[in-house]
Amino acid sequence: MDEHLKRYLTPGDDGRAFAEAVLLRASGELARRRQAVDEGPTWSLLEIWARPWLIAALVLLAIAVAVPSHPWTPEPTTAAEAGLAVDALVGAASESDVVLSVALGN
Amino acid sequence: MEPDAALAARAIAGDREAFGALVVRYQEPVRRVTRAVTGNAEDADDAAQDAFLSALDRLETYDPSRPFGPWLMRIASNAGIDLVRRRAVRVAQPLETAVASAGRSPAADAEAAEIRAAFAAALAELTPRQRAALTLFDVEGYAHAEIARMLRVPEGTVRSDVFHARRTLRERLRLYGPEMEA
Repeated sequence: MDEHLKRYLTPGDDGRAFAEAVLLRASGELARRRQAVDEGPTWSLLEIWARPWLIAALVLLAIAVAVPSHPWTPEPTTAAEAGLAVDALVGAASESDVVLSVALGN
Repeated sequence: MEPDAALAARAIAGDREAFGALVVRYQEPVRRVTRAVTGNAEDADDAAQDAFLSALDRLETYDPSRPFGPWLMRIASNAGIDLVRRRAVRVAQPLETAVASAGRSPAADAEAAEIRAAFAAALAELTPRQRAALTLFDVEGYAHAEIARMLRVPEGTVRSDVFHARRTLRERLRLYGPEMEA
């Protein structure tokens, strides 16, 4: 019976016209796929979602770099104040040098 | 012969020749299943075309490490069943087949026509899912478990569908000799 059923269900044509009809209907989708390959990778859904956040993060980073870290600290107004600040920096540097040399010695 | 997975990969990139090769390779089993499910050659080819287009749409979901046939047959069975659900029920007509009148005597032709009518009547008694299960099992040779995955039903349901469908066909075709009861 299986063989009879198979013969009953098998189409009488060679399938060429059917295949042509499918390819005709698929031509738009196939062309879209070829175009997508030619144009290279496109933004995925995740990338589309992440893009504004990425741009916002870059903008914030740029602002953070441009704005001084302690804008409320007054600039030294006199040469004496400036000299004190320099001394403090030099002192701090020499202390760290000591720490470094001790560490290396150990 | 180029493997299905390679053809599918090329079709994903829009290769018309590769997609055409897949259509030619699978058009016969796909059309057999949709003919069984719809019981009508015209609707069957519509459903089969829809199945191939749907397969093209979701080719990215095909796992190339697995066989292409069952993946496609799942889409085809569902395309046929969906079409039957969407459209009004048509009167089952015997399908036109290649062996309809291949230079035989009028008596043999008459008997062949009777057998086709009996097949059409028997298949019309079954549900679309039973027709799909019967064809996938008896004609296309898939296992119960594979058919269950294709039709998204439990394996026991597939076994029951195939059993019921075979019994119906056997009863309807008993008149045409013992070979129809096998």
